[in-house]
Amino acid sequence: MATVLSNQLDPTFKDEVLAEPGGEHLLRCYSCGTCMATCLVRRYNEEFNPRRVLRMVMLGMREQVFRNPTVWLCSACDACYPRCPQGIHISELMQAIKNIGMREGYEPPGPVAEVDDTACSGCGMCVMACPYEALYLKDKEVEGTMHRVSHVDRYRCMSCGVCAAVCPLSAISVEGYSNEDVLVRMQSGGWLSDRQAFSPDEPRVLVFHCNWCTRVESDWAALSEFPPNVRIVPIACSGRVDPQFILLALSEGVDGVLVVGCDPGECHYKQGNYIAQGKMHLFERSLSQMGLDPSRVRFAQTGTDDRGRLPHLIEQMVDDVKARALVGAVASEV
Amino acid sequence: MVDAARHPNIELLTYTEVKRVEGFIGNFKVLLEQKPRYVIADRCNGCGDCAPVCPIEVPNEFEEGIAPRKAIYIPHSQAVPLLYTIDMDNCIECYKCVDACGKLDAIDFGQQPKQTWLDVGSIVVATGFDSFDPTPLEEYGYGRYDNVITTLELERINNSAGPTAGRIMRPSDGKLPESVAFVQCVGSRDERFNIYCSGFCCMYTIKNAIQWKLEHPEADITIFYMDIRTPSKGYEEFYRRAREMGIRFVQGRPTWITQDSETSNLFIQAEDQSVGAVIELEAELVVLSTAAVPREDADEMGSLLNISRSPSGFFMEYHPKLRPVDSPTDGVFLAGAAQGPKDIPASVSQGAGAAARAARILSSDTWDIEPIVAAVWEDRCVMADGKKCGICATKCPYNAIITEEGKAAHVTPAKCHGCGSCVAECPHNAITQMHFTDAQIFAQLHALLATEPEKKIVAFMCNWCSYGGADTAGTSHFEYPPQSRGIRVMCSARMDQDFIYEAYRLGAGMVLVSGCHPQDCHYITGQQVGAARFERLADRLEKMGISPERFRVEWISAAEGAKYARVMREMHETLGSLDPQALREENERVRPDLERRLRRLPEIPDVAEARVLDVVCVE
Amino acid sequence: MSDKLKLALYWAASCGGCEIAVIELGEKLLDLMEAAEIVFWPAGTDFKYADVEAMADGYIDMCLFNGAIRTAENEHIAKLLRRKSKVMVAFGSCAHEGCIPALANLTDREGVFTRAYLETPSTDNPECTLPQMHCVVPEGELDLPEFYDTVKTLAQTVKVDYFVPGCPPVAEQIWNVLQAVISGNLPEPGSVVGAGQKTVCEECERIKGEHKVKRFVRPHEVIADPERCFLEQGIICAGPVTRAGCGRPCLHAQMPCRGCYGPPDGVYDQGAKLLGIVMSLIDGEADPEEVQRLVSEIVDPVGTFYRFSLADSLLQTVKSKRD
Repeated sequence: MATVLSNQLDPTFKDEVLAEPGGEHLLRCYSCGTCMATCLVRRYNEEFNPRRVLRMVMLGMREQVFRNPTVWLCSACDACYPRCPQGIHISELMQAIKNIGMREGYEPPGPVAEVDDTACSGCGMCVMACPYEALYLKDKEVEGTMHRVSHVDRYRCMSCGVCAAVCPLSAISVEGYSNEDVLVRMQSGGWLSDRQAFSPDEPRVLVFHCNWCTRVESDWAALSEFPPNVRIVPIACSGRVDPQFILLALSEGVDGVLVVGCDPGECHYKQGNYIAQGKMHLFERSLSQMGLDPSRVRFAQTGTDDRGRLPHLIEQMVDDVKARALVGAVASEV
Repeated sequence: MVDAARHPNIELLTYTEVKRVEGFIGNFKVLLEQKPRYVIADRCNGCGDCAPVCPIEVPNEFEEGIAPRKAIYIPHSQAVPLLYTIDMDNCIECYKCVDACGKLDAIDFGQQPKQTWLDVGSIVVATGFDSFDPTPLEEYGYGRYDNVITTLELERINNSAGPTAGRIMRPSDGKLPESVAFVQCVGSRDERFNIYCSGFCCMYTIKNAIQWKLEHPEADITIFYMDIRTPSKGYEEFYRRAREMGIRFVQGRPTWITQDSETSNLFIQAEDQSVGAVIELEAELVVLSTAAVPREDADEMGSLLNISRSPSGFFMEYHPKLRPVDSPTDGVFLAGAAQGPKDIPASVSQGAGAAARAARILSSDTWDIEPIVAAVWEDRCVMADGKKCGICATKCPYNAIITEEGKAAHVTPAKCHGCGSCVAECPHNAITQMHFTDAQIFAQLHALLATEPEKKIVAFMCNWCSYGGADTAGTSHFEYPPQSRGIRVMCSARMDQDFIYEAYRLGAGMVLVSGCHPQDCHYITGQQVGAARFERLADRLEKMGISPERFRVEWISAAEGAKYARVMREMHETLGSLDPQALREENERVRPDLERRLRRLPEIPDVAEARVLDVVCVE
Repeated sequence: MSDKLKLALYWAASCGGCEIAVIELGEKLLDLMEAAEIVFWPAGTDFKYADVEAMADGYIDMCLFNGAIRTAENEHIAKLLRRKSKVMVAFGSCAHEGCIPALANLTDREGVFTRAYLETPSTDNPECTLPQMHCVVPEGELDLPEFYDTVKTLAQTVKVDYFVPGCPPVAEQIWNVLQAVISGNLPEPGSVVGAGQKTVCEECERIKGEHKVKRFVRPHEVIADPERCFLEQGIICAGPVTRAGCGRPCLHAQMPCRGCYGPPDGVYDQGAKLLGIVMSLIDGEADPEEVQRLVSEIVDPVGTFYRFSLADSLLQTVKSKRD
């Protein structure tokens, strides 16, 4: 970057942040870098750096702070907060800076969820499901008449996709993670429908994993080394998984479906992993009730310290599916 | 240590605890309890035949738990005296050691603890520090991962007299690690644990790294740090030497350490700020530089010796710059890490300093104490009548007052520093201060307010700060109106509310009470006592009907001459803005209440004579 | 024969409610008779199977077929009527998606017979007599149609041209459909008619989208707040996944929607979608044990979420493929 000239700095910026609720401890920061090393958002955006942003605030680099994606992309998962040796609640500090930015008219870079007004029935499911309370119902004129439809607050939406999972009319979606996008990833190359392409000892296993469930780089790299019978579909949050996707896969003869989310307390989007846990367990109960083997579907969670866990979970799922096939899956079912 | 043990003027009492300390500077009485070794000191020659036959093995505290010791043991091979001790918590009394000892017959299971009283003139506290246990920092995996150890554990491994005879090996498989990572500031500079910097860890880590690199030039060594602190002589050069040897320094505090369960290698994740990227470093061993923390028994030690602790938990010095080896209690000195984390040169210097100051006491026949000490009028103290009070003792920063049921409180002159807290706080006016008696203060008040009291500002100032500040204002020629009349006392704690009531009763226009800033009080807690009193007093005065502008509380230091002058100008202006007639009427209205509150003053010795003025009307 | 529309109505495995719904047209039945002629309706008229067999193929203009396919007879008549009809309509939830009879798909024939003929508390059957397809009695030989293991929808048996959802379809919607038929204004084949495009929520007047769920309850366990959305009170309402058009009589009666109008377009498994929605509404303070507790509060997931749509669901497809 070019030289920072002191006459371009705004020395009152830090005072503004200090005065904003959540910003009180800004000046404690001694740039140790723990927060930067913790946060995974850097994997998805190179400019993301919370340590640097705090430093820029302290120096008074006002505009650069708001144009940097860091404050807008912080999803308040609070992985950094318990590790900060100065006890700074970093997500609250980010929110404080965001609030100032909002008042000055800066916009988050997105993407955010988008509503198709003509399809929305105003049921409010998305509003209730959103972990960030980023959605609200309001009357709006749609094709000539007033309808109560869902609206997105750009400043709160973190693009987790939980809303897209609950909408029955596909009226709300997130770029890159719409229902079509997910189905395309499941089916590409004919994976879903082309059962004949795989031999009996290559059981088809579908894996949904969230973008954050492993913090270890080597685990990410390991994902690309699985054979074609394992189809790995990344989603923003495990809470995005719609049980319909799983049924679709099973009805096309897929042998196993694994959904991987974050450990309790570690969800990048606050509570998406709890939602996923609830959905998956209820779904497994439904399978049992129908006399189907619920172990063909699995929900697993990984956390910070779990080096090697994600590839291991996938391997284990494939092995278990194979073992069941050998024993005779039909015989083991009711 | 051996020299110390042999010196004719030094008596080394090991395995002994201090149980009680009484007395005062030059005249301490210390109760010691010598714990039983179960080994007769005169007979044991440290031959060590007993240990090999002992069947009990427990973790060796000196070796940081890495190696075992027996129930009969010496702490380490350089222990002085070289005597074995039996750890009765673990001994099963199988008597195998007795057999092994044979003719020397040095083992005696019948030994009892022995108590003795010692008369000493001065006390030096050099109780050291403990190491922070990094287990609560779960993200670093200490206690979960075999190959994450602390520096002290590495020191033992490295030590030629240690459990591995100086061969570096890692816990999981005993092999020499080819790569090692040091992590600094574990538990230090951390809001969650200890916010201070432990000071010596940067240097010892660089030392360990250089030592390792000298023995194993091909080793890959990394130090993760936030700041490298190398302030003293030769330290920065040492740091440069480490860099030039190829030791890698990464500026970035690790966020977590994970383990490969197959190799037991560790992966440290941190932002390398210099290069601007997050790195994940694989190392076969991780060494954590843990904080220095006060010893667990510092609380107990503090109560025994009556020395207070700083916010960090280490013992508090009298003054951080001017008297760093003295504790606030006269005759008790501090040396080494007990007073705060420090390295060896600093500890040795401080030790020499403490010894010198302790020796001063011993080499004098007499010791000068303050003349302005407090004294109790025994016939006025209600404790002598069997009533419960003891307020004076609770306010004393030096624990100089002894209270016993049924007896009058007693001030130990040698311990009293003359702040006056007890004098002002005593509800029965049963205690006085030499040279700052109530009578003397009242006499001053009466003299100062003899004429035109309503035009005057009475300023009570503490000796060390505010009076100095007023003086500074004068020598600096800061102008302020001449209406102020100052009364000096040693500490704001001495400013009795009766003085202020009397000032208003005599018709004073305004009253200022001024003392040191909270952390600066010469008498440690005197200012707090004063501040609490003034807060209550301000409320009460207002309720009584005295306009709140007429009473002001300020904290002015000796350097703040400008502030003193400004406060005086402001008070003068405020006084000027009040209607004189209204002021007089206010005084009239309040006088009966004040007189009622002060009705017992004449009982205090000499006060009646001092109060020469009656109510004064002014024109 | 006249120019009137030739209408047939048939009931397979059903409760008869759909016939009542047609009767509920009331005076409009007279209007209907102006334009249409009923050529077969076992519940309302006296025509016999032989009459249908005697008809030419395509003779019937429209057949309103209600009821699920439970037995061989249901299947036979469905296929018969399909041949004889120009337009086949799956009328009512049973024909559309299986409805209540399809809940028997949680088990099989043996399970059903055992329960019905042997295990229910009021059964008195000491000889354990079970229905047989063929049996010889002194008076002769008796045949009963085969009782299938799986209940199927009409569309899983024959080609269906239109679907009229509902249990039963409400009278106004039946009239709308008939009017559309009479005037020749039907949409393209394969559509759902007599219903809306969006979901029941659009018509529901309750206040929505305010709170998350802290616990799940069944309707009889609480007195629900009449102004607020059922789901946020923890009462499972299928409104969000149910096609609009019924005029929400259940909601007006202070009961949650049960989903009898089936899913809207785009939802291909009503039960799974509802299950997903319901669990997404749980309170953010949940921890794993809380989540388990919430999950366990839902009694009978399949019966709750797939109450009407089981036979037409992907879940059923998975089971059928397995079997």
